Amino acid sequence: MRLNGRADAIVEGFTLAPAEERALVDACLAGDRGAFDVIVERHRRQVYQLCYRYVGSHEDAADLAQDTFIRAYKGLKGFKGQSSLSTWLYRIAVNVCLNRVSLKTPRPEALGPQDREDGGAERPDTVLLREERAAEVRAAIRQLPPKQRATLILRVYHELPHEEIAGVLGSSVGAAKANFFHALANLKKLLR
Amino acid sequence: MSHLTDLELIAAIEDAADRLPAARRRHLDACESCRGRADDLRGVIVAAADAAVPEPSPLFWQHFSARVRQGIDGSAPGESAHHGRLAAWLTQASLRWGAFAALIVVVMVAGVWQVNAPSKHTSSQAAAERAAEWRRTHPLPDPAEPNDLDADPAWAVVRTVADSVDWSDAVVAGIDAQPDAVETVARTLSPEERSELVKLLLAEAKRKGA
Repeated sequence: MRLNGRADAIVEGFTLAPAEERALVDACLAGDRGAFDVIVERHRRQVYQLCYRYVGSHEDAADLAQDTFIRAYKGLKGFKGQSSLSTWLYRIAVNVCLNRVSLKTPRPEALGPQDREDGGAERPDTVLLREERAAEVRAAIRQLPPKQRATLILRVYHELPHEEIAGVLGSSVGAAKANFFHALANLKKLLR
Repeated sequence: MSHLTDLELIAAIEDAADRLPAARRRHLDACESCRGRADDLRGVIVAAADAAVPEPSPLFWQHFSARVRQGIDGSAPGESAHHGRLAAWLTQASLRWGAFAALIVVVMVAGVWQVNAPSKHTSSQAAAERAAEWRRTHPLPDPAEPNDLDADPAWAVVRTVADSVDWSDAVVAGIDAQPDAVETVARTLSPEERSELVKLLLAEAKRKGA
């Protein structure tokens, strides 16, 4: 499976069948650099968003997402296909974020439209209010304990089942569900 | 009947209420408190889901892919399947500090051992070899008989000067020898060397006004 030059033709976020994912990984392991480009193109947004929700800064999220893909590339032999490629990448991203969060106090999130797409045809004050509320929620999420934060992000935004979240975090399914409950309860308190 | 547990509430808000036992479902329908808690949790999920991540510019994505490509340039895929696990292990903050502390201890222990432990070729062995070499290249004059040394007027000067030196002063000055060591060394000196030593000692005694 040669994919050089095809990366730009791949639709971002379109789900591949497990066999296609396996073929992509095998092509990459066989030295096809274009295959890894395809993996990056397909998953970069989701990985970036996961990192952003963790750290709340565009610059840090970009660094963490880049680190995630570099680690994924170097550890590609470790992908056995037992989970989807996206879940495997989330696992790496969560570990990268957990390590980073333990080392560094997150920067406060910058409000403003710099380096962002504009809000379309919405009224500016509506956009501003919505962005402020979203920033409050994201800031509250970042105050959650690390594993609760990871659980909430993976469950709410990436819609991973509790079984896969348990796999990502190396915990039991029951612990993943309990983490989710406590994350919601704590978030409720923080948003009062 | 008791209220729903945390995990039962999670099942209830995730459209998995049908997996709850019938009795628990009936409780949920009847209990205002449990329904209220479930509604609160649903509200938090809705609020969280609405908080979208700001979308970076399209230009960012182009740069991002280039950055990743640059980051993996020169490395082969999967090359760190084992090293990666070790690296991941080491990058956990607490373990990294632990490993760092352990490394420091190892270095210190190695340093202390290097200083204190006898080497394979010990310093005493080396000294003995050097002494043997010295003896080969500097054959002693016919072993000076104690009587000869005592009769040597030059050596009498050395002994006199040495007698006037307080032992503790000598130790403070860095002269630390075993008893009879001076005599032992003096016996190995040639008459010319002994004479030179006497000159030096007399000069030193004059300089100090002795």
